[in-house]
Amino acid sequence: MRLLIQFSRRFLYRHPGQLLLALTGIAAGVAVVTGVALMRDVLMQSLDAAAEALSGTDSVRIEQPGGPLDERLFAELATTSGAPDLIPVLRTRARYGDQILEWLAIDPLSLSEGGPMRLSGPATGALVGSERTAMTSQRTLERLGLEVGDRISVRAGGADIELELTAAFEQRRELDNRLIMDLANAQHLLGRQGELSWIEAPADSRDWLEAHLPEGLVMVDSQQRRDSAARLTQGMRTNLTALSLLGLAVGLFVVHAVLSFLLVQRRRQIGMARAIGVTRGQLGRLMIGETLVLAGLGALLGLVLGTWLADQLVGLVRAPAAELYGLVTTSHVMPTWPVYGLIFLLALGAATASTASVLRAALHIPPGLLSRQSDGQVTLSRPVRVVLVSSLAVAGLVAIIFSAALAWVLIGMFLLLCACALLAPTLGMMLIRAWQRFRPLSLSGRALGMLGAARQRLGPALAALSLALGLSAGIAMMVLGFRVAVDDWVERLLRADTYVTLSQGRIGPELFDELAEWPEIESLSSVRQRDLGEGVNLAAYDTPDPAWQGFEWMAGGGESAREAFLTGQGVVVSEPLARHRNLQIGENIDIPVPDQTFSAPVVGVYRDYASDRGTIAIHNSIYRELFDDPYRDSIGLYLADDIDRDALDARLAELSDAIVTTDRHEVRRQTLAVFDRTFRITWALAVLVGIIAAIALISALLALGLERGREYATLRALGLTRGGLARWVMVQTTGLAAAAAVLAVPISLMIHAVLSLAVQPRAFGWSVGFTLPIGPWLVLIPLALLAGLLAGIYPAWKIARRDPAGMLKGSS
Amino acid sequence: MKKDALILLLIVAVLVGWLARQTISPEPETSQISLADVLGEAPEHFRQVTEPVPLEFPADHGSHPEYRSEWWYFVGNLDTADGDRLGFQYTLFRFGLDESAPRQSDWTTDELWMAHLALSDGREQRFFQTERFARGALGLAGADPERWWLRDWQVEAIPDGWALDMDAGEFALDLDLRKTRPIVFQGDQGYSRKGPEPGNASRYYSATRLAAEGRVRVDNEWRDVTGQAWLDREWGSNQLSDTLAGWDWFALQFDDGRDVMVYRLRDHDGEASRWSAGVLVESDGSHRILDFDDFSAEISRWWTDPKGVRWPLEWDLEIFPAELSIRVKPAFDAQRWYQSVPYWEGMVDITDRDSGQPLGRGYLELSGYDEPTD
Repeated sequence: MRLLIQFSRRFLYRHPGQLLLALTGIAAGVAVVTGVALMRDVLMQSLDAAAEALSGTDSVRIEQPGGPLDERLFAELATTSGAPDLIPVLRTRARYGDQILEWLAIDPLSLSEGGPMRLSGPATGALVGSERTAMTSQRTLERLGLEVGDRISVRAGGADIELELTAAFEQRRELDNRLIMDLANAQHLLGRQGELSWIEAPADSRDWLEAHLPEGLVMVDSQQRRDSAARLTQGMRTNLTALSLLGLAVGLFVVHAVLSFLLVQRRRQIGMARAIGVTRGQLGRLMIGETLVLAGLGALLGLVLGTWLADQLVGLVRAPAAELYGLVTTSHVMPTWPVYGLIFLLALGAATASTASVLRAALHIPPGLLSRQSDGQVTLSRPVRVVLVSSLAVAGLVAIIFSAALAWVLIGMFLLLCACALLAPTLGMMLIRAWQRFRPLSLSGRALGMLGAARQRLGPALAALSLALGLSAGIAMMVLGFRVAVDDWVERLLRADTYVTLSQGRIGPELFDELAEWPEIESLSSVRQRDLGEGVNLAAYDTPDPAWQGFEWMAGGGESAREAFLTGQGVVVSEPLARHRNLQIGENIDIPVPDQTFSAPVVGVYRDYASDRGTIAIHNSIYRELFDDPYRDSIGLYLADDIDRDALDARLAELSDAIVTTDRHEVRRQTLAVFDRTFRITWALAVLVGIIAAIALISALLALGLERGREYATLRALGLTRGGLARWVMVQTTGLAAAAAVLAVPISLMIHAVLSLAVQPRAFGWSVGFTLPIGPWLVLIPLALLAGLLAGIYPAWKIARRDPAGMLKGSS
Repeated sequence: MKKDALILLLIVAVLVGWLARQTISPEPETSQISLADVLGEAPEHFRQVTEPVPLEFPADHGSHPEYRSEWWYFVGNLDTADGDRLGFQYTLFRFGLDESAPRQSDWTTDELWMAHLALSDGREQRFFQTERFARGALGLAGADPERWWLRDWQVEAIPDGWALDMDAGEFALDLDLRKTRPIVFQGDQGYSRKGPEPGNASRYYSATRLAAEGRVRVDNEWRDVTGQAWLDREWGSNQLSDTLAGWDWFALQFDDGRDVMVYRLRDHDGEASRWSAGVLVESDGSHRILDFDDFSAEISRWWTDPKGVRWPLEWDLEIFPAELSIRVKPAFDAQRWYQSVPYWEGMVDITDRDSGQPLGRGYLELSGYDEPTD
């Protein structure tokens, strides 16, 4: 065995480039999976991160369903005999520039001695003593380019609030992107006297709390919070996981391609080894050992790279998590051994499986074989292939069309991709042969002809390349198409000429009534939003005619619906809500109101891309009655014709310094900016898959160029010049890339269609019209051709330099 | 080949090491408060103790927010029915905060409250300690003549004494403490000077012998107890001059019915300050004030705690007016507080210095020793 290991070592040492490619392939695939897995954890933990920082893992949270908690409850519980350590929390979101931070106000004196967070005496003194003092983590300060002592202006509760950053937590990842403040100061600055968002309690206090909590309050444990975050982000996480697994699959292809290539190179040595008495078992153990060492090392590298990558992905997912789900993530991932271990084992298992066919081929090499030529690997016969492709395609389509579950749609898409992968080599070779027919006798034609004969060697490369390119292009097309849909929706929705908000927060009824009197304003719309929990939003609208026309109805709507909406006899809901709850027109929906439940039938379902958990909309007058809340968040002004906007702005400014006006175009621009931030993570993953595809491309093309040395030597012997041979190789690599790029076009179209028409409605609840943005093709096809050309340069140069006689004899 | 394996192992070790570092969660951040600093210079808006003023009860049992700091301090030695020995400490501290702008919130406070609850288990030599804080808002902490509390830790006035009800999870106290002799005013009618500057003083009174009866929960088991406890009450604004580093405080209850309290204020060189003082209470309840020349205290043994801090745990005391020559030593060494305020407070035994004969029990408090020796 020792001899065998020596033999293996020497061989691998002689092919460092191949070794490096295999390592890179597996490391890149594992990195993408690790990055996405760790980022998923950050998303899942984001609802719980603050609790973990305050009272440790597994804490219990006391909440008042549908509203804030009365702070007197805290005092009552805390002074009851046997009370556990309780931490009162007031939470809101604060916007600093385009960053969203979670503003957590606590009573620092309630932090328990055994708890995870203790503040120093001076820090507590500063928090309690100074009105605008806030603390955050050192990493957050660095990320935002701030320093301790800086004063910042944040927007929270609809108001601009100035804060002073007095100290930073050094090591606390859970406190990333969180501002910690004293409760008294926060209630004062936010105008939320008497309110708490929740009370944190240690996990072991559940029994005591059950015995002492008044009716109507709920206890939410950390598992429920994690489940909640999981439900909120399910669509996003599933999409990203699917993409990362595809990344790994492409990475594994690289491993497969490299190992198969190495096998071809070693056929002769293996044959000799078998001749001198090495058994199949010994050979099998050796090759599995090689694969495990290679995969293990690559996977470890991938875990390291993936951890770094995850931090970058978290940066990209921060904006969509906050905009879509109100989740504030940490800046850095918090890896655990189980996650690392699982990915490591997955990588080892997948690498071993992907090399199974290589191993089988090696074990079938007869003793004494001295030829390095491949005598063909096991392939599927044409009828079997036809049956397999058709079955996969049919099964995939059935899963996509008939299943309501996202996971099945993704499985369906995976099956379709498998069908494409099986079909790609045949179609690719047909393409290459077709191109060859243009000029069959020219050098290029002959080069392509020779390529066309190498179907078995090039099949996997063609399949993986066309899939990876198609995937990148398809994702890009979906995002671009979705952007068009969002733009149309915003355009339709924003009917008012300008929108009014107040810098110090909510708008009182006096301002609304005053504006209603102004002759230059024809009508007013308004909105007041309220969180109903689990990400569901309640929107209270004032809807004059033009505002009502801004709704695009997917079901219901119309005049009778409007009548019901105005009188509280009906509510309208957004498409995502209707989909998630499977609501039909006429079905009743409950809205939790303090001390009661309001119930009304759904009279309309409107298109909405603002929240993927959904929105229930009611008329403002009904809302005011139910919630005893006279305020509004913003007012839309519908102006009479020929109004001097500057004069209007001046008059508004005169009314109050706090009035902020934003015109329709600016709101549209902001909405699209949010959209673009939301999809940065998707772009990033598409690019990552593209990068792995590029590695796959290079490995496949290098293999192609280097493997066929004997044929090239024959060509040289027959009189082909060095330059001619170089051109020959480059025509082949470019031809292969071109075939992959052409095949990627229908694949990308298929992916775009499945993502837009099937995945989006199931993952997020909204439907997206099908458009055909061809931009991604225009970028990817030339890029693939360029890559093909460039990837041909090294083998061309190397082969052209070799001595044809030596190559003909068979040494590599 | 061995070299290859070594290089490979090295690479793997580096990678695994890097990954391991990513999985480490940070330790909670903690910090400590120096009591001597807190009891030092107070902002001007706090009143100072500058002369004797007659104390009035029950009003003066309640808090005095016009002064910077104040405490209610119970310690006691207890015996269980089956002969085990326990000690307890419950202290409620109030610290006035600097003036700040008014806020629209019921959490606004100008007081910070801290409570320390400890139990010494003589048989197992275990020391349980729990610390809590609260703000003086929303009724979370406070002291009026009838009740002193921080969250659910409550002291309530009962006829002739106080009832303590505290649950720290790991242990709990449910004790009635009844006065067996009159309250003793320290210093000049309760005006206890601690330094040369005006204001280096506190109002100070004690109940030196309280009959304790009730139950204590430890190891999830309630045990009936009896014993003797002590209450110290003190408030002021600039008690300690900045020449002082800390103090050694002895509260001793003799079997013959006498009680002795002495505090030895120390300067930064470890020498006793001339402002050290005490009180001797006779078994009939009469008392006399002890000044610097009335007693001596010499260290006879040091103990080094696990953090490397040295504490003088055994003392030889001479109380000249009482003709007492005694040795004070802890029931066990590890009765040290590791929370926000580092100090040692524990039950002690009193023996005759020459014969070694047991003379009584008490409590010892050592403060200002928290500088590590290395």
